Amino acid sequence: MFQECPFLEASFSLYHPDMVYANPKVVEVDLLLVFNGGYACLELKKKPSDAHRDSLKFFVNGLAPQPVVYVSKRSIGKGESELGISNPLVIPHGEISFKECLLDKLREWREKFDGFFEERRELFSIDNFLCMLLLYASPKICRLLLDEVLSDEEKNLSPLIKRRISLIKRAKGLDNSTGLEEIPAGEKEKSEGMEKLVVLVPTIKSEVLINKIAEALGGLGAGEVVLLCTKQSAKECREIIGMIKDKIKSIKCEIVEGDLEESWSSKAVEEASNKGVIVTAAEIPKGVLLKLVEKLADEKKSVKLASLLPRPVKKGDFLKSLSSLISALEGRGECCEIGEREEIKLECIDI
Amino acid sequence: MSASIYEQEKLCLKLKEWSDSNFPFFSNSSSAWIFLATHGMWSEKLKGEVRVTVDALSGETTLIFFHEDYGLIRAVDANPVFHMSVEKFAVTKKEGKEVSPVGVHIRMKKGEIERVSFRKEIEVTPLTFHAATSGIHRSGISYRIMAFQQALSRKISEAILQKSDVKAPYEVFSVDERHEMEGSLISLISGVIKWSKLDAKAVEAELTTSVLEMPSAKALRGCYDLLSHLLQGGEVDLSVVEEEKKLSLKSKQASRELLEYLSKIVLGRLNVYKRVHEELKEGKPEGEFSLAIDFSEQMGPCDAYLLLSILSSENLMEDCRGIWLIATPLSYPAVAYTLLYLKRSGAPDSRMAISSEDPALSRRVADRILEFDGSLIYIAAGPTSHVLSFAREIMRRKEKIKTIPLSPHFR
Repeated sequence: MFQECPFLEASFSLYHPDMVYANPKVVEVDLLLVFNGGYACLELKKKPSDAHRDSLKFFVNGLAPQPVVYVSKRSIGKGESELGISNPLVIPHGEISFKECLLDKLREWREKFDGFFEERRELFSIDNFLCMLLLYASPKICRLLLDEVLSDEEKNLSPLIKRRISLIKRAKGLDNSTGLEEIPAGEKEKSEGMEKLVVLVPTIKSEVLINKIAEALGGLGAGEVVLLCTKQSAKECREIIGMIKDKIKSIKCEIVEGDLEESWSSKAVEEASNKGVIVTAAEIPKGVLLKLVEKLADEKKSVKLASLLPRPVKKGDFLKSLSSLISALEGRGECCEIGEREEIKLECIDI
Repeated sequence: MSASIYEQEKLCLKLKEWSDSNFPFFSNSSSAWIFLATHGMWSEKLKGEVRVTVDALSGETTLIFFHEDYGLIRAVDANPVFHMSVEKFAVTKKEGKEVSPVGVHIRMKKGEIERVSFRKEIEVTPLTFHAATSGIHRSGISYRIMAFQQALSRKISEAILQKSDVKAPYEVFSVDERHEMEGSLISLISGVIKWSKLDAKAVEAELTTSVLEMPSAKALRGCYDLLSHLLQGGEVDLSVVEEEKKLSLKSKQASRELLEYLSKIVLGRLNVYKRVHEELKEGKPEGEFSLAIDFSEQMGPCDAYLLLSILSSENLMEDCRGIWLIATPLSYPAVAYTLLYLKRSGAPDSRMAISSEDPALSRRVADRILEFDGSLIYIAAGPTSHVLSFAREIMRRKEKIKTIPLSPHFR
């Protein structure tokens, strides 16, 4: 069916650029196929009758102009005569003429998934923006941003970014000539563990965010945690301590007073001087951040900096479901569905 | 029912005609509005005229547009990433017996073929029009605040600096200050009225940060009263003064509670420009410099105007070799709009860069900005991880750096 296999991405996910929503996801597509001139969405369902309700989401998710095709074990048949709403296009996977092409891409995806994910985790915010351009932006806007706003260095930041840009150009009819950058296989080296965390905790009104911060800090495996706060954010610190004290050997809260830009940054540098990592949680006043950077530069301290940021985290059963799907398409299994590959959590990212 | 009953209820905002074929992102008023409404994803211009009415009794908005633009408007409304959301559509067509194209049934069913009438019409900038037609999600409220700040920009700078000879943002669209003020105030008030109807506890559960304070019952009453006053032909005189070291909004036509609420949500963040002025006055750069400004949500043309006014008041404009506007995926449309303002206001050479929370990208953006010779003034306002990695990179590589945080002093 295709002269050249389209690009495929499994569990393609897009989020709102303001990640402050408790659930920021906009849309998740089981298999996104990118062609020269557009894209199509393949949605996989165990049985055809699972497809009709699921298809309603595409009427409200702005993907309606682009084709959405459902793939199931069998076609819609007599058994679905009680369906109460219109069914989308459902094709049995045995009848897909491009199955071999699809299998090649899925096997490649399975092999390179860890490498892709590591890059996406590091460059999540800009990758998400490029995914937004891929789905929603006009060719004119894509050309302007990619050719005139982003510099060559920024466009060549990583294989992931280069590949996204090539895909956008293909889908929008801007440039079909460049090949796609290879996804590096395998995971990058894990960064060293953090023995001591010095965490700047500002005033946080949302219980949801406090819980997320506590979960993130509790999962870092740190031996010692010092929460630096103001009088106004002391309550948040106590709540966080209450949630994670059983996971951390030593955890305490220190309240800073006086000129807070000076005292907060000084205390952070002092506490982190001996193999500590300064971690920012939520949005910290910019004056404190600039003072912190100045002190680290002036005192030539090699203290590490990190931030808790919303990042995609792999969902454990995704690769298993991908393997099951490959087996089903090879005729060796029954399952014709795929799980979501990621969810958003706060992760500690090195600055 | 007589036509006069319909006219009594509504105020109308209309896009002031403007075009500039040299600006790459959009070239006229309607494409500027589409650009903002679609989060900078589209910039198609409309075939006909577009207007929005605000109901003075409920704050609800009706978008009135030409029937040939129906598909485009519906598509903008349907996309969850885009920002437009109004309560009703009303479709017009040319006079005469011309039959509407396919789809007239659905328009009649939705009551979209509506007689268009209103008491008062005001011409506004694309930013204010976008504010009036935005939803009341976090970005929608940010744009409403941004538009009102834009309208008040000259008054704010007079409160901080006493005088500014810089062109105000609405002037580049040849929009009258009074109309822009009224239009953006109506947009903001209608948004506050709609926001107040949301379930406050549900909103708090859905957002992890930056939840806009709900107005008190008295402030809300003030919103309805002010809308009604404007609809009955009244005008509103607004001024910005400094009281107890804070900027405050004053008006004889608005209630005290409403003014306090608006002062907090609109002017609160802008108090920081007094610090910016002090820091630039006390530590003027020697020789030529470039200016790099982070743009967070809610920052827009007013911020650029205040910075230009401060530079001008300290006689620094001539030494400014260039301005970098640093956008993020969230602030990118507002930054592109602000870039237009800078280019048309005679500001120094201005460009946009896109950074993000990703430290690796911030460092590359810093590389580009450091290519300029001379010293650098960095106005820090972006996401925490961007500020840390960007500031660390520029301080590591350049000696003559001045950094100024755009957040209030901690005391």
